[in-house]
Amino acid sequence: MLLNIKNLHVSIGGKEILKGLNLGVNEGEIHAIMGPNGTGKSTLAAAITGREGYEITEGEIWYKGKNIVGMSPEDRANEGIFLSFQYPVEIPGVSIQNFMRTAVNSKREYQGLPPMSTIDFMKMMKEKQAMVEITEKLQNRFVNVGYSGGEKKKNEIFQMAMLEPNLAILDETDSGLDIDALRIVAHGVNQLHNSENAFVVITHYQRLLDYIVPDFVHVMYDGRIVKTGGKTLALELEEKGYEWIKEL
Amino acid sequence: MDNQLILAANQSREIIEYDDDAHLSPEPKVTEIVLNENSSLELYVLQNVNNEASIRREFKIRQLADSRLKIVVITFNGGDIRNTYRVDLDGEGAETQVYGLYLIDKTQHVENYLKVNHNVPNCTSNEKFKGVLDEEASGVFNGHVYVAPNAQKTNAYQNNSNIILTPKAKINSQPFLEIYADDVKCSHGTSTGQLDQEAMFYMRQRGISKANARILLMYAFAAEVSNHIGNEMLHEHIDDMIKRRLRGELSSCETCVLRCSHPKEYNFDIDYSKI
Repeated sequence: MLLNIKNLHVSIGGKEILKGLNLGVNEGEIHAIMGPNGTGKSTLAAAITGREGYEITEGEIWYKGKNIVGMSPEDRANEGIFLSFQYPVEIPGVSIQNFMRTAVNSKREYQGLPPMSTIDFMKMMKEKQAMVEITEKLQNRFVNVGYSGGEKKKNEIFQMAMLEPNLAILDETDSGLDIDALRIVAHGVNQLHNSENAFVVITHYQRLLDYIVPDFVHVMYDGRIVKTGGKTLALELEEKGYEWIKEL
Repeated sequence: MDNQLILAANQSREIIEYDDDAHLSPEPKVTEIVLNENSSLELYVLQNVNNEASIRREFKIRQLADSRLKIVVITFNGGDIRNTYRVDLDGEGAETQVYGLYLIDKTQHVENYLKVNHNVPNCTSNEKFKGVLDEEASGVFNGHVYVAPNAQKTNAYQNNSNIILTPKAKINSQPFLEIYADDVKCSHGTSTGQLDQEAMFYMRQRGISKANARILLMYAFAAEVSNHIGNEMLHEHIDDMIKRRLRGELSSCETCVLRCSHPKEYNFDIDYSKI
């Protein structure tokens, strides 16, 4: 199993948000996590990626056979965990090229590989940009600065393509996207998906799942997964809303 | 008066200087500058002295019609530094830009005092001062823009922003506008904060180490000042020094470019023939 979360309890500032969550993800699978706002979906993403301020009070997160609780965010990233942010951060003064180059070479260093040559890096940038239909020259653009919501999300998928993660978590990647951008993002994900990696797609709406077809749909409520099913569960939720989930 | 610089009408000059004659007694070094009609000056000043040394530097500038001035002062290191700028815009169409960057740590102290007088209409002034203060470093920014009653169509912008890396580092920032004309565009601002934690996590999530993420962010912050260096070779060189400073490689006397306490030969990659 690629990711195995056991009885995870997470608190923020003393308040318990995740209350005993279990989740298993195998290579090659796509999992969707749905649920009303404020049930802990983004907290789960933060806990898996090692964000500071999210205190794991109980439970374990096993990834590639290691319990990664306590591991630094950068080490988890270099082990192949990628988060597509719900709100990608603007970093004025840092060019996307410089940012990605530092990221790619950090991972290579972690793997004991020499830095990538400039030519190879530029080639890879061009290739991956094409995948998400980013046509402009990114060399002199600062990370996410001046981007529309859709451009920011495309840029997240571009970064994902550059870093080739084993486990990609997409946190509300569909929010703020028009249908064209949604298709592009989904197309990028589908191209990257293979039998050796896995995707956890956090979403509020069923719409994205028309394009990224999940093997499993989990419904979160009050810090736990309360129901798991196939892709038809998403349709059921779309139809019936989340109210009935609260009764489970 | 320590030195005087007068540019004739239509003249243009670029000057690079090092404030490396570390004063142990704080005698001010005064530079008086007069820019005649349509002249242009770019002045780049680098300050990098040891932690026991003080610098007292004063710039007194008078600009006549359509003259252009750009000053960039980069403070890498120094125990106690005070820079004072006074700019009198005395001719219409004059433009002035003053930029300062200070990257200080330990118990270093840097003060920047700035007074820009818009005495006539149609002039533009733009000042940006940025600082990164680590450990127990402290600083003062005091900026004052005066717009005379007749100085209509003035454009005046002033900004000071600081990154404070520790609870013990501190900055006292006071931007101030004094405006007596009514048809002007003026703004001032100051911001002081820590490194952006959202950006830190974003970078670390991409596999960039905490140390490198910090340096990237601080470098990006500092580059907003160094990008105003028009001389490409100097720009590259200063950028390199900023990176080394942020990595903590420029702070000690061993790697310092100056001979202040250890007289020795040193080479500096600046082509003085082009200055």
